[in-house]
Amino acid sequence: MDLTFRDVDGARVIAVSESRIDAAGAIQFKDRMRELTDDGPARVILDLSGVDFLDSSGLGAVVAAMKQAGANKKLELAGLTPTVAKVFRLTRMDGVFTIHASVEAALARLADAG
Amino acid sequence: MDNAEEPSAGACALDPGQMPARLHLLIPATESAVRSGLISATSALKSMGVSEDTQGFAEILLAEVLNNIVEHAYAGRSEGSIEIEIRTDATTLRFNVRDWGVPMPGLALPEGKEHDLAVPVDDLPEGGFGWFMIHTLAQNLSYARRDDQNLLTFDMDINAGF
Repeated sequence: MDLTFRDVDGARVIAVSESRIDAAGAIQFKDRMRELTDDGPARVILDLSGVDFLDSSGLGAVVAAMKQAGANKKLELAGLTPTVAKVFRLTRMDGVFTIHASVEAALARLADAG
Repeated sequence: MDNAEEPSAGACALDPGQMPARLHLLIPATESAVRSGLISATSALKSMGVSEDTQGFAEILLAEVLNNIVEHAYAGRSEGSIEIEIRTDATTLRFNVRDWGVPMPGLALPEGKEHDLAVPVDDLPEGGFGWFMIHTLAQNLSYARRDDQNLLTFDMDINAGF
């Protein structure tokens, strides 16, 4: 699972360079997210704009990533593509995560992020 | 559909063009083959003229059905096949999915329970979303065990919104 990161304005922006987070890749995604959130800034923005598809295993892995980031960190999501947004809406997980239209929008809201 | 003999996997046939149309896929019961099968099925729906929204809902629905077969019907088995048929007409996508794995527990469809999400982060569910989405997205969902086969049939409105 190919994830890359950059630290911007006190936030760690993690981009997913795979088009799918599914049952075949969910465990690798979760493990890689752990590596990238163990250190670094407390605010983490997961850029999903390159992800066309996410299934329930992938959704579970995103939830797991939020849990394993710990109470002192905040995992936010950005750039949900249409089918990924559908999965979050169908499961009502869109009400659990802070979701931004894009990474740029997420960073512009830095002052509001608490 | 009455032949109980398990066919060899890998076949794919598509009748492209105007609706009504039919897609037939036979894939190995593995996570990677499910991924490829979903990409093929979604591409076929696109070529049939199905809207992007409906393609997305159909891909989510089919993914959960197929993942469930790989994880449960074929649990502990290294080989198996899944047969997928999608027929479309002007109003409806009709799915038939067949496998040769173990029966559903109690010969019944699992319920799709809605999670309580008003809980602390540490208590949020990491699984159990699959059947909830299947029940939300599918109409006329039915399961039958025939000989050594699991047969799952369901429909989706071609203009569905959820």
